Amino acid sequence: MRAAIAPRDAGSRPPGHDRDAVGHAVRTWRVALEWLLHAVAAAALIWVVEQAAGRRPANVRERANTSTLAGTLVRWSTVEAPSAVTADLDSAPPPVSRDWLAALPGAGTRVSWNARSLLPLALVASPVADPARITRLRVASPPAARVILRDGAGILDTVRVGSGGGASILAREVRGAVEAVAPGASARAMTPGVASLRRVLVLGQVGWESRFVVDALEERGWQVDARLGLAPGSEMRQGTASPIDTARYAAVVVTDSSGAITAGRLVAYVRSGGGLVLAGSAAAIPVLRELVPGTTGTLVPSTPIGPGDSLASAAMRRLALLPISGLRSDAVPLELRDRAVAVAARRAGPGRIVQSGYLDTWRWRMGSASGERSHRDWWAGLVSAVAYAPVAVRPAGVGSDNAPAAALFGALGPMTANPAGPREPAGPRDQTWLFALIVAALLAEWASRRLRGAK
Amino acid sequence: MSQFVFATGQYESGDWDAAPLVPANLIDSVARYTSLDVAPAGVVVPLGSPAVPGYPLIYLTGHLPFRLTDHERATVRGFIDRGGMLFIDDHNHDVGGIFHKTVTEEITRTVGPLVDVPTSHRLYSCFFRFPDGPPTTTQELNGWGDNLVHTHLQAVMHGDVIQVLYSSKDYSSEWGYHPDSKRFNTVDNTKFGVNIIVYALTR
Repeated sequence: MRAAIAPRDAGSRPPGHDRDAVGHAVRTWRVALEWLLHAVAAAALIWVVEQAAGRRPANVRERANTSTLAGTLVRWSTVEAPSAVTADLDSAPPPVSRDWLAALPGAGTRVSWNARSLLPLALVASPVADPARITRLRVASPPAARVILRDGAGILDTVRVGSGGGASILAREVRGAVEAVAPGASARAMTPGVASLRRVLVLGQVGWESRFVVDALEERGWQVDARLGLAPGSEMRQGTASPIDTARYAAVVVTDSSGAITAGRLVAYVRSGGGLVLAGSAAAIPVLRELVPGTTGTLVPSTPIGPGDSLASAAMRRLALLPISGLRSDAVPLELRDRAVAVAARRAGPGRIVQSGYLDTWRWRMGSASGERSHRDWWAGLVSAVAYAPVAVRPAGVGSDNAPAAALFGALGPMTANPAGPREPAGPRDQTWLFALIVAALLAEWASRRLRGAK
Repeated sequence: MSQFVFATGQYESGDWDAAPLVPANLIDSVARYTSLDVAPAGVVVPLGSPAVPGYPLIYLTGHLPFRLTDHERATVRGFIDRGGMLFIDDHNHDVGGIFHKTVTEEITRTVGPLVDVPTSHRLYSCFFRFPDGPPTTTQELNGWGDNLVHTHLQAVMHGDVIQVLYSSKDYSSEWGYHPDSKRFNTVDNTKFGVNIIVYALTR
């Protein structure tokens, strides 16, 4: 039997043709999907590589506060590199963080900062030329602030800053660095080393004044030489007969006008940096006229110091006084008594001169209960004020943060009024999903290829 | 600059004014040998007076029992503590005498124990030199008093510094003459008194 083969219609299709067409279409789409998955995996991989290579994401802003700043700086510098950061500070950060912030612009990160509650506090420690190893601590802060001063051994003192914004104390035997602490602020200062102290020379006439001045300075710890007139051609010498220069003497004290014998050498001594204390009539020595802060006025006689004058200031008011008048324009009054200048000072080149108008200060020492100590401290203060005392200078800034707020402004510039980038600080980005995406895309591509028989 | 004023201490017991010519004689010697600005007349200062600290060297002498009142004792203590110096001379030249016994007891109680001053002390060289220590007195050489030559002065010392100088040599008799008579002496026996004053002013 002949099989009759019926001719196909023009519009008809052979059996299975549709399935082939569908399969072809599916395979085409499948190949396209595989390419897509491949491309996604490759793109994700490139993006990860780019991130790892440090390409900066555009317009990422970060924010940190004082407590998180140290850790955030590490992240900003190692994991991320935001284009802009803002530090919201409630106190001055430590010097390392401050300098780190200041260095960020060099790495391409804009830095803005604000610290509305920042307390400006500054501390300076400077050694006083005094054998008692005294350090002068000066504090600056807003008026009425209560500042605790402490060193390595503990609290030194607590000061209430005056209306002028400053306070000063003298501290003995300071150990290590000194720290000033106020609520929300602290400053740290290192003492610039112990002043190297020479001897003190006392010139004048043998008498109670010169004797008790020598006593007071020796009790304070100064090594004192003395050349005191005793008789024509004879003087009482204590110590060595050294030339008067800054290599040997930190200061020279002239107790009266009889010191004129050696006064000529004092001008050169002061011009080379030496310190000079002129007491009473010593300021009238003609050759010292070019050095003295002022001329001596009319004598105000002494009144007896009584038991009631227990306070040093009360006893001192009873001493005879040669008031200092005609002060030079560059002289500074240091002490007044009844509107008369009792003590004044000036500089002459590198040297310093203090002129005291008080006479017979030994009466103060002998006459009041606290006189011995007050007299000693007062004379030690005069000598310290002028003494030539080279200081062992430490390298600048080592261990110190004298004025943290000022240093912050210096390092970062003015505060930013409306800091940009209000975004909260973000943690390190979790990129596990990206890795999963790459793996999933590659696995899907591989599975698809295998299932359709491709390699 | 204030003048040096020689002060004689007046105490309530005994005869504090037993040697009235000594101050003038020593003032004369100080003015004669030194350029110190010295007041021409001495003063008498009661030991209990608030004026005591105004005279950092005070001379005491006497023959009779020496006893300080409580007030005088307190004043003397404060005076010594602040740097004043007492020079006490036994006008009897007698270590067995009543002044010596009472004054050494009183000073020991008030200030501290007396010790011998070594002859090398600056007291003996601060102006005139006395290499053998304190110069002998006529009373010692003539055998008056205790018939002894006292080779040392005694003192209450603070370290090397004399706070109270005590003499049993009777310088009060030795120096107790009018200054005008000094010209008749071959050797001025008040020179050691100048040393005491210069020492007090420079110690």
